[in-house]
Amino acid sequence: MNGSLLALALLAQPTLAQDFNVSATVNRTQITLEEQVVLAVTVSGTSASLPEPKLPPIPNFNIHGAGQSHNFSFVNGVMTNSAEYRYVLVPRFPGRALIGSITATSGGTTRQTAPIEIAVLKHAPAQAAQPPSAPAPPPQQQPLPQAAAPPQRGAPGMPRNSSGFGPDLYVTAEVDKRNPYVNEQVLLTVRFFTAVQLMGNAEWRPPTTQGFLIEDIPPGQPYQAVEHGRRYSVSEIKMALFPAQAGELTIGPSSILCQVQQEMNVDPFSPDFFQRFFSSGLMQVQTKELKTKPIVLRALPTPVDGKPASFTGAVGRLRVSAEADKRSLKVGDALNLTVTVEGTGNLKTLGEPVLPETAEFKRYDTVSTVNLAKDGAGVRGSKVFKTVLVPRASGRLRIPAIPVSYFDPARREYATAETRPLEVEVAPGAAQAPAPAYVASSPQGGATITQLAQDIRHIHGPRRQGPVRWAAALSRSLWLHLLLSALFLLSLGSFLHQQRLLNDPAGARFRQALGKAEARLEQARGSPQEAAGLLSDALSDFLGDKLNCPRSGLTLKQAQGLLRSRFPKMPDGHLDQLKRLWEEIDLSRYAPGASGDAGHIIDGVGELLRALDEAMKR
Amino acid sequence: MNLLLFLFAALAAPVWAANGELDQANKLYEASKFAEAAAEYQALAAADPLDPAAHYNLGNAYFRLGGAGDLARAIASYQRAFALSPRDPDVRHNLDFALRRAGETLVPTGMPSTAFVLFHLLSRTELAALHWLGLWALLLLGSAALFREGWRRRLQPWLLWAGIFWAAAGGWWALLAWTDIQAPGVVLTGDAEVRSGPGLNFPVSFKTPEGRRVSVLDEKEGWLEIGVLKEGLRGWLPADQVERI
Repeated sequence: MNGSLLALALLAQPTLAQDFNVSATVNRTQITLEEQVVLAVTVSGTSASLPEPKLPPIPNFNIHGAGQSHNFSFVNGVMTNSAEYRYVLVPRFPGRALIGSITATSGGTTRQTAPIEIAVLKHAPAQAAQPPSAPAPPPQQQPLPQAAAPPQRGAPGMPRNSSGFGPDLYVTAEVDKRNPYVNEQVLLTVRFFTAVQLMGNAEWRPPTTQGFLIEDIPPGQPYQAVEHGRRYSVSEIKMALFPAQAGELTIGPSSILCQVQQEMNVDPFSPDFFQRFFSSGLMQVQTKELKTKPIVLRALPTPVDGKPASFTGAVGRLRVSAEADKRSLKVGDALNLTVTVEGTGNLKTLGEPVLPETAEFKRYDTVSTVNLAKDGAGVRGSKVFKTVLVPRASGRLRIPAIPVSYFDPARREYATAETRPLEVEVAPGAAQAPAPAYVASSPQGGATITQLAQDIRHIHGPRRQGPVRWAAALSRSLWLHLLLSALFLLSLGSFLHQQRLLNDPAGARFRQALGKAEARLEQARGSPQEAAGLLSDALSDFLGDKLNCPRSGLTLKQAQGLLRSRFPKMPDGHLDQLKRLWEEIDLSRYAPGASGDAGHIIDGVGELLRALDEAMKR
Repeated sequence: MNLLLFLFAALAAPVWAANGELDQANKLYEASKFAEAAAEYQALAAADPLDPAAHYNLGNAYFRLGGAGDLARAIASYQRAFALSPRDPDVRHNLDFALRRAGETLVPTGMPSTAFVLFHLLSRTELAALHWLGLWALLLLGSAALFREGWRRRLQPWLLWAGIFWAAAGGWWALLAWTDIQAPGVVLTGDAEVRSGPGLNFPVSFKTPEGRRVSVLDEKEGWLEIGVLKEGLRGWLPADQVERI
């Protein structure tokens, strides 16, 4: 097996029951000084947010970021997330170089890779070059600046020695624009010109900057150029800078450290000539540091006029597309909506596109991933936003167009890209379907049912009303309460009245005497023939009831005596009147025709009885 | 007789009219148009608060909507349906199902479910009606017994049974009213911050999940004092974070 030739250094930590893992691979473990290594660091896990890897110091290499890519999926409620960070490593010295442990830390947990050893040879071995062990680096990963090969001797225009027209080494820095807009890409190009043999590769120290977001770009292929009448090998290093604020911003000086061989001024007559000649020859190594000049930029704010509502600060040129992972589903099922924004510009800071509000979908949180590709033109790539939507309604539902606004610095105007609206077919019934049940065979041969999910029960249709309506109507029947209460009170009153009569018959006779007597008088008015007898009964009954004595055999004298004794304040006139009427009634009873008008006697008896009743109450 | 017919018609007329609208709302629900169905059910429940089906179906629509506060509204609707129709097993099931999502159960911990079902065999309205029927029977029989001495002896057993019936119904009614949540409400927001006083200047005492049933104890300037029954806590919440049942 060509495992060693693959030069794959998959050095992932064992998969533990943690949220994330980190692994590192290199495409080759043996290279020459003229070659490069692509280091890929992968962080993977089950959470939406993964930590960024941290590279250890690697002094034997110049390190250049070469992009990153994310892969995210959410299937059946399980999230898998991975991010790959690519770096191009340019060796500086021959020998064995060690890439130390690469770490990633999240929530107090740190993961690290095992160290990787790289053998850097000065020249390629005699036999065939080591075949690549891993897929070739992406096309945008250009070769790094190599140890500048000395210009070929004899080439046209090539100075024969280092004391030609131009300097042996020099460095320049330039930007592609001096007045960028905020968040617009500025490409910084540092060119390293060398006309002499270097000892190893140069070390690049990036500029100090403030107010920029920086993306480094893999170095381009060295080329040769004639400058100042001299042929140079030129290495280019590029960086993409994005102004984070408006105003004057300075890109500080960057520097290149290199070692060159110079002839020694050796005195052949010096006493130590031979010692020095045999120890280091006639050449000496000298370290040189070359610095670029600072560059001042004036960043402009994006215009206020014409700014769309959906603009979140993106500057560049963008396209947007949307895709749903399924076009037919049921109510309550999850649908993954993927919105991809791609183009040039600072995609890392691109805000989440605003999904138009719709009542037909329930929306969950959005997760985004960035895939960046870098080349000589700068940074481009895509940012992918994944959102889970759950349809609430059935039918042909429409996911409206999703706008993404950006400022196009080339046209100096705002633009809005939109996705195409998507339509999905949603079948009803999933949400209100009965809980699914799984029927399995039991060991006894019968069937057992295992409930897989629980849900609420279905709605009710119109059904016979329960007794609650009648109960409520009864409880609120105030009139019935009043009626029955009144009936009861009436009965109670009647009962109490009867009880009182039973308990005090004398009193009852006393209270009812006048009423009974008046009834008799009325009767007497209706039958003149019997009037005398009725008047006699009325008078004697009245007196018997009032005096609580038997009415039969009651004489006028007895009556007068009892009235005087029981009612001492009885007026004499009443007693006289009683005597007169008594005698008149007796006369009319026993000598009909001798008495006066019967009606007159009845009126007189009536008045007498009322007068007596009144006097007795006093 | 005419009076009875009139009473029957007066009680039944709104029911017949509502049945058609309930059918309409049910079709919306079955087409998974839960928001529209909820609006229809809400109108039905407002027009006829004594219709348990409207409250029950409204609870289902809210439950399916699943938005912020919808679980609490579903619980409130199920609770109203349960108050009207406690013997309905579907109502009991859905109320318990929703309550479990809010960290509660319908049957209190430690109480046998059979005992709970028996205790809630009759609604408070039904028990109130039985209590009044018992009282009316007592009044009628008592009136008759008072009115005529000859009936008194014959009515004595009836009076005794009516008295027992009245006392039992009244006692059950009072016990149910006493053990039920007083001035009930449901918390509408998740992790609602319950403060020690009616204002944002008072510290947060505790947080309640959405759908937790509470007792409204007091009201002051847009704030409600609530008592959380299960944990025995009390505090103040903005009034718009509580739906009264």
